[in-house]
Amino acid sequence: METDELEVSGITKMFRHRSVLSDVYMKCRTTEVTGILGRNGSGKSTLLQIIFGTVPADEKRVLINGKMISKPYVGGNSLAYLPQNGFLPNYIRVKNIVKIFIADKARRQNVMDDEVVSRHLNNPITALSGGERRSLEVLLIINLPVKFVLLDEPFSGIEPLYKEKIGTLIQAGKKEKGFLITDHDYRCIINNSSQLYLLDQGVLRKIHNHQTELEAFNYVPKGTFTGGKGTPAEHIPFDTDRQTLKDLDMVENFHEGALFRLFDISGTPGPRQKLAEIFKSPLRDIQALEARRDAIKYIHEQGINPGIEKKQIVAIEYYLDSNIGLFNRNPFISIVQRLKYYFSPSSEYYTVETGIRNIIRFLKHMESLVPKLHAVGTTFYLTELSYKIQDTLSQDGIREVLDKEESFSLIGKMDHLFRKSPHLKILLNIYYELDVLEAIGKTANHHGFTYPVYLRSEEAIVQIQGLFHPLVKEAVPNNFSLQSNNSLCFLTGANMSGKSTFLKSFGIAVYLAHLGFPVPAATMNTTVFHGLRTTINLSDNITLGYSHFYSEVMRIKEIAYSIRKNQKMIVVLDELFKGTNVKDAAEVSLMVTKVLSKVPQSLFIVSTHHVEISEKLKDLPNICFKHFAYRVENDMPAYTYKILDGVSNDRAGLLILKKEGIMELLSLAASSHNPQT
Amino acid sequence: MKAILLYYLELSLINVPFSLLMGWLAGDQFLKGFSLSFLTGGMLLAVYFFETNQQAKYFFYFNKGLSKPVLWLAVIVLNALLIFTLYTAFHGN
Repeated sequence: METDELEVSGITKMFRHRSVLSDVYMKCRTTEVTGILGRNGSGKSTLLQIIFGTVPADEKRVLINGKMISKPYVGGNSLAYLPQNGFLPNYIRVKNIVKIFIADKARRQNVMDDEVVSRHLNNPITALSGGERRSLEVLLIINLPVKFVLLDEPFSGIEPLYKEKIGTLIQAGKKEKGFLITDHDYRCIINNSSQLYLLDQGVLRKIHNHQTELEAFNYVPKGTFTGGKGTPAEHIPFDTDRQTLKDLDMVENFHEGALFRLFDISGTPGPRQKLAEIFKSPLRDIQALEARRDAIKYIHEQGINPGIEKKQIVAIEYYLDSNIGLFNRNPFISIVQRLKYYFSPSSEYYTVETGIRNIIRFLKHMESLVPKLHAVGTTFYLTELSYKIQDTLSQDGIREVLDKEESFSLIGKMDHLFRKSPHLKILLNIYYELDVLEAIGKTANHHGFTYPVYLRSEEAIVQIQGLFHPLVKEAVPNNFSLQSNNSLCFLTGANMSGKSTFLKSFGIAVYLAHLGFPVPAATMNTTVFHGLRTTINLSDNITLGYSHFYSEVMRIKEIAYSIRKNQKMIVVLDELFKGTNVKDAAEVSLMVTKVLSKVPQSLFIVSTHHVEISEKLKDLPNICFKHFAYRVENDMPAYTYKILDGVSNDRAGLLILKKEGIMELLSLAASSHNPQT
Repeated sequence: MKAILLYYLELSLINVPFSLLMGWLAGDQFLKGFSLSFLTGGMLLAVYFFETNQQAKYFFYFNKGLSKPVLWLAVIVLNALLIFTLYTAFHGN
């Protein structure tokens, strides 16, 4: 069978100083379906309309069977085009539309016999559902006497049943026609196409292996095809609670947490709020965690700086939050207002004018960030942000602001645009996010943090080398690991030997890793867990009437519930059952430790001073014993803060009391109140 | 031809009422006012509304091989024919 050939080459289109299409080349034959993928605003519709001939290009060559045609649609026998939006007249009956649109009787009858169309022949087009309407449009376009059909988003916004039907129509139609289709539903495009292209940054790339190349070009998240997942993973929250956050020095209100302050180096309210938002939302989705980690790393390594002066952002935020009434949009009134301000300055006009001037600079700056975030080697996370910036900047109004010079006459119009439309808030939010990512990278570098490696294992594993506490000066690093066959660490050590600091360091590393942040260690390999619970600084609860011991009991109960709910947990318990007598505490600790050691998939660290129970735990599987070393130098305790294997029988309490001169102080206090002396 | 008539009908939905209004405003000179508007302002207004509100509907005609200049030319000719008919009917003698 002889086939026809559509060849387009050298298509170049600039739009307001921006290259939309750059030297596009492609070829399509009848019996082929060519799929074009691309993000919003990438120029897919523009490309199809240039080929169709209804949008002019700076340069183009469209050839059908080697013959160049400048406006292929004229004459109605070469190309047909299905636009994104409905193109059928609203007020006439479906059968009349078919009669007017399809000249050939046999084809017309074919359309009218269609199951959906036959039901609505006497109805106006408005009586059809979205899916019915789209399938009618596709059916009409396919039945035109043309060689090539261009379909712009045939699958968008319709239910799966109609997607399948449109797919069937395309497959049936390709026997005699060639198809060029584009849609955001990449799976529909992939399923229906015999060849694929990706339109990205104005460049049309042929895709040979969609499974690897679409991920490599950041069109889909990593793992969409290669990871075996059907859809991009959702952001699933990592389960934690107030007590844990308090233990790890993040506290209830993140603005006051010492660890939060470590990363909060921006100093402006917007990024601070964004950081708090991220800090409060740890994740358990490995793809999302890797994406954030890689974005932080990339921004830091490439030295990408959101680079706007703080005072500019402050001026913008002040202007947007102000209660000043909206200015009149009329350009004439705007000029009068400016003249009035010249002779009689007002703070309101100054706020609006300064805010708008800073916003225009901000928008231009955001535009300059797009290519940096979209460069080769960048991550999906940053590419997504660059697309978002690009989309928002191309919105009506915003684009005009970028293309025009600052003018007094436009101040009212811009005031309305900036304070009423959501676009500016979207861009500010992206800026805050970039600022936060940059700050995290800087902090991590300053404090010697490392980027965690997430293990894709069914087993629960945490392996950390050189773990340290980020808030302790000259902290001693420690190596530590836990995994399913060694799931409980029984930690002992003398007072002040560094147990609690170590437990906090471990909790912080685990929490930060589940934020996708760098961690305070030399290396960290971890599987992703479902939650974290720590009990380090537990106190009694007067409001609820809980004693210290009862608070501990309730805490263990809550942890048991969360393990049952989440399965894969990390639990850190520091000095269990301090609120009861020594014998009771030892027995209860033994009982709880024994049970915890049997919980599969979760990892535990239990620190205690009840070293005697270690004897009864020795024969149990899954338990490892660690301790912090301690020695006496010149009758004083000396600590190495190094974690070692085994159990510690050291007791430093008495020495510490002596070192601090407590006994002497008490003796003096006793003697000063003794009437006999 | 049917497609051109459909486009003409769609434009007339704005052109006719607007031109009737103009004719009414012209008082005694109703036909003159109506005709002038129908051939100029009313038609331009209808094209403008179609351009701004029904942009995608043009693809109905593009797919039939009709370009905008062809459609506009057809509308001008049909309008002129209609006005000529009206003048002939009312002032033919």
